[in-house]
Amino acid sequence: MTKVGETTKKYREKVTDFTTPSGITVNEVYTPEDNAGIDYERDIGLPGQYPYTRGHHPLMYRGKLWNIREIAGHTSPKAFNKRCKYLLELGQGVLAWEIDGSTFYGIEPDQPYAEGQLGVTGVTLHSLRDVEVLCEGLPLDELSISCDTYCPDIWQSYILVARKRGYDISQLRGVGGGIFYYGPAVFPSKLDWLWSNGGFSSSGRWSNDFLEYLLKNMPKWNIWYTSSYDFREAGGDAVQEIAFTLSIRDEILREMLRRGIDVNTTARQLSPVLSSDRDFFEEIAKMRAARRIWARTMKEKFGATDPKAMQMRFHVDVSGVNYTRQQPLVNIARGTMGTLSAVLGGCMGIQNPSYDEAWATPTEEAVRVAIRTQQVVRYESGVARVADPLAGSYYVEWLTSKLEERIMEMYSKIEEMGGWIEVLTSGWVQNKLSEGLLEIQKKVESGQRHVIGVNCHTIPPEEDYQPEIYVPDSTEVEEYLAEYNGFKQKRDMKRLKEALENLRHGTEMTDDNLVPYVFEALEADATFPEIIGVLRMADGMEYDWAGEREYPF
Amino acid sequence: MEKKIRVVTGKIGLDDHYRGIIAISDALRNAGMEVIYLGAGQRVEVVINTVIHEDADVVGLSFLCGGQVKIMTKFMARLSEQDLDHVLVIIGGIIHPQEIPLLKEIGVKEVFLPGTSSKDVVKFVVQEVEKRRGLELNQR
Repeated sequence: MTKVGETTKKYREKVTDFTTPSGITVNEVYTPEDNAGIDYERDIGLPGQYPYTRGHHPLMYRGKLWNIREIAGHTSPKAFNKRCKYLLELGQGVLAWEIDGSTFYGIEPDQPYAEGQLGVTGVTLHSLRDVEVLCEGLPLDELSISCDTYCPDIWQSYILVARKRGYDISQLRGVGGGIFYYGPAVFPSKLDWLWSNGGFSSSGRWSNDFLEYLLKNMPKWNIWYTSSYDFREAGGDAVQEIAFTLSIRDEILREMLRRGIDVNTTARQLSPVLSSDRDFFEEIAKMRAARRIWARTMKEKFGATDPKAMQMRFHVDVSGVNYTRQQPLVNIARGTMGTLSAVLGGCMGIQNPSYDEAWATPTEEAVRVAIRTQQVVRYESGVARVADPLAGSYYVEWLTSKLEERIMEMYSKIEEMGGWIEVLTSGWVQNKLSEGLLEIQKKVESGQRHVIGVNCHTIPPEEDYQPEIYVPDSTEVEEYLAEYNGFKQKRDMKRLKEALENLRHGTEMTDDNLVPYVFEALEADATFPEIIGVLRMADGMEYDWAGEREYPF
Repeated sequence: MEKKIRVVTGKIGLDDHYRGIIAISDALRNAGMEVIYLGAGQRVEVVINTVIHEDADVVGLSFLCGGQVKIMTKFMARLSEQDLDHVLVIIGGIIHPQEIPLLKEIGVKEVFLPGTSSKDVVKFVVQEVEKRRGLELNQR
């Protein structure tokens, strides 16, 4: 029985939280007066027109719908190749590969440190041969591939496979590249992958060299240069997310300028991943503000002249950290909200987590629900019909300008502190993110921040929905390991040694680009960990990050 | 005055998802404990050595990318080899329900899942450590 007065209390319940997660206090209503400082032509304009507040393209989704880019990846290249073909049969036009920990951290699959983790959170890839197996039968000329790899090893293998199969690599489409610039902020144990001894480490240089290679050879490739989604997942707010995104962009623009590549060429290929977190309007306003600032700073700060360099094009990951283990089906509603704000914010692609996010790697069924969620928004809701439908809303325009102001403040502050690399290597970024996550946790535990199923509207665990759990097929991984060992033993060791020594030599030739050296090593069947190990040794570090393997030569 | 509870926290394995372990480390610290947070990407031996050098009462590890059963099996064996069976071991993260009994069998005292209030973790640690310290006194 409900307590006396409880029903009346519920009937009278009202909104009590007037502050957005990034700390902007909002009024009860907005009027033209709040937009008095906004000039339509100067600040808003049309979609596809400077400053691109309303979108990068005049037609927006009438020109092309956003990509449904659900991440996928499991066990071995052979098994995952089948899944890729299945996803393409389902009508997906893009693939988003997820790699496992051993691939991401660059260690051998048969090392003790990888035990129990092989192929669990993604596909395991360790050599050109693995990538070749994964790509078997896939239409590389039609696909847009993405993958969040720390090093360019997978991409260089992908390029070699495409070349071998006779494709013109200048026509390849993909989303990937220089994750290393943002990485150490959210993977604090991997700072040396970017920076060591006061400069870019050899692997940092390799990634810069690869960016240069992409800019010179692969104009259709979108350079996924930061997953700013990760900043949010690690505790950052919307203001930090965009300020960091812009600061990293500047760092890359300057590095490429030093290499003689002008800002127009670089910026037109840069494409970040943003987050869609839980405050619906703040997320939309954030995306609109981000586009406006990107355009203005490209033009005014860097003197860009190519409109494409002024258009910020981005993919969105819907926040997974907001998904709960409790009452997991409610996550479908969270995914819908996040997808909707990403679409209204004008993104080019969306990945929304599956409802079993807080339980395990998703089941096929849970992934299908995530894809269907996006399809409901695409085909049933009608929201994609009109470009930037929220423009002119007194509230959304006010919030867009307010966020612009806050983001500019933080972006300028980072610049004053010495730029992205400086605030990253000093630990300032990591501290900001930790402060944010502790603040959020405090609010969740005090009940100030509602989390349905966790601190309000809870049910006893025994009544809760138990999702089916995906467990990777260990036989696929075992089969892979057996084949991998066979492959390693059959290698031409003389050729391999020569290629790795050349790579080591390449690290000393500071005017050279490391990309051709890595191509040579990959073609000599060097494993990814061997390539990474050689680069580590060149910086005076231990060959194996986990301290378990020695350099074979 | 009673000795402060000393806790070593961190992550072992190919996984940098540090949000949970930082939040828990902070909560334990706010509850008056001495917390040594080692960060992510640690090796089993490093954590064990820290437990020895810091004379820790508790180890808290977090896993969000799998591997917990294999890693914890190795960890608990090494802990035992060092005669550290009195150390309270707790873990948290994305853990499959069917793995929880296995983990408890090898000596992990509790497995905390997403959505757990840090107050519950603090309460558990205090109770368990008091129990263990009481036991030690009785044995003397």
